[in-house]
Amino acid sequence: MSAAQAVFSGWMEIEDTDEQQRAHALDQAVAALVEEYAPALYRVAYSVLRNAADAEDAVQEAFVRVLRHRDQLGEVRDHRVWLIRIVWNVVLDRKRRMKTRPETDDVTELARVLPSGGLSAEELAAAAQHHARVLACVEQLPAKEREVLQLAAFEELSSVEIAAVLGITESSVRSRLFRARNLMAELLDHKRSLR
Amino acid sequence: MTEKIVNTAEFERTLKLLAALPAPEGLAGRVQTRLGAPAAAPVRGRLLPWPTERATRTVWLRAAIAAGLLAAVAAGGMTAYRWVAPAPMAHTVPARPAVQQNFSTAGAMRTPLTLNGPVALPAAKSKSARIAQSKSPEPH
Repeated sequence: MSAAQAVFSGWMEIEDTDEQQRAHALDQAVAALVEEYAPALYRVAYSVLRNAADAEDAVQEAFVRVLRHRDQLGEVRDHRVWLIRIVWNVVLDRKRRMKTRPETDDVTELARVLPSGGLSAEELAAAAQHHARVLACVEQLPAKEREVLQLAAFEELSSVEIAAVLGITESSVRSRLFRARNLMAELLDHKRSLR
Repeated sequence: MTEKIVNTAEFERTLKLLAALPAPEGLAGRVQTRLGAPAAAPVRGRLLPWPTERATRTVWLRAAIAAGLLAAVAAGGMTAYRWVAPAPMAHTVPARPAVQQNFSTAGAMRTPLTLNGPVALPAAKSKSARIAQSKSPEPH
């Protein structure tokens, strides 16, 4: 049982206490959620926005939304998927508002955030360039396929959970993932033939 | 086909790498702080003390100060009003534009209508002379 779930089970037992105690318990529950899931939400946000500050702001906004609807926390079954769905919507909203491409071409930023793994500076720069090219191809995918592909990269998310985040069926997730992989392979082949 | 598999592994490696990036240090703490640290120490609202007793005791003093300030402002306003001399009343006639809008006279001089000169009337005859004249025979 996670810390957040423990807090929730405690909160559910509060029956005869007054409103203030209940609100305090809810605040504690939100704090536990932040502690447990903020890093995972950050990674989801970063995978789309590719900007550290924007990703952190998105996580913040997601928890503000959670705080606003904290009365409904008791009805949520899987908090992790629920939170990922919230941050996913926040991230898509932000991306739509920004109307700009994510920093896929910012090789320097990628070289900064990617783990060096004992590579030399030149090798790291080359790897960053390669990753930037791949991410540029991802950006060329249709939105539906791209979203499934990005979420599938998170190993902790199963296809059922991806379906829950996107609000589609599991079979749709599988078919979109299949299409996305084929499209990506074609795009990369095309790029390689141009070089 | 082999190429396709290689490509698939290639791009998935990039996406997984990006998805596995560690979150920055202290992220949860910063989020908690910006959310208002609800779990740490709930801040209770507190009323500021309002000095009601002192206010009633010094009400006359405050009224006197307010009246003094009002008088000073009024006196200053009057002084400024007297210093500024009123502008003299002047009626100005708007200058007419010296533009001739009619036809030109082409140099013709205006001549007044000619009046008949004084007519010398014969002197009036007396009544007896008129009778005598009527009685005399008219010449043929």
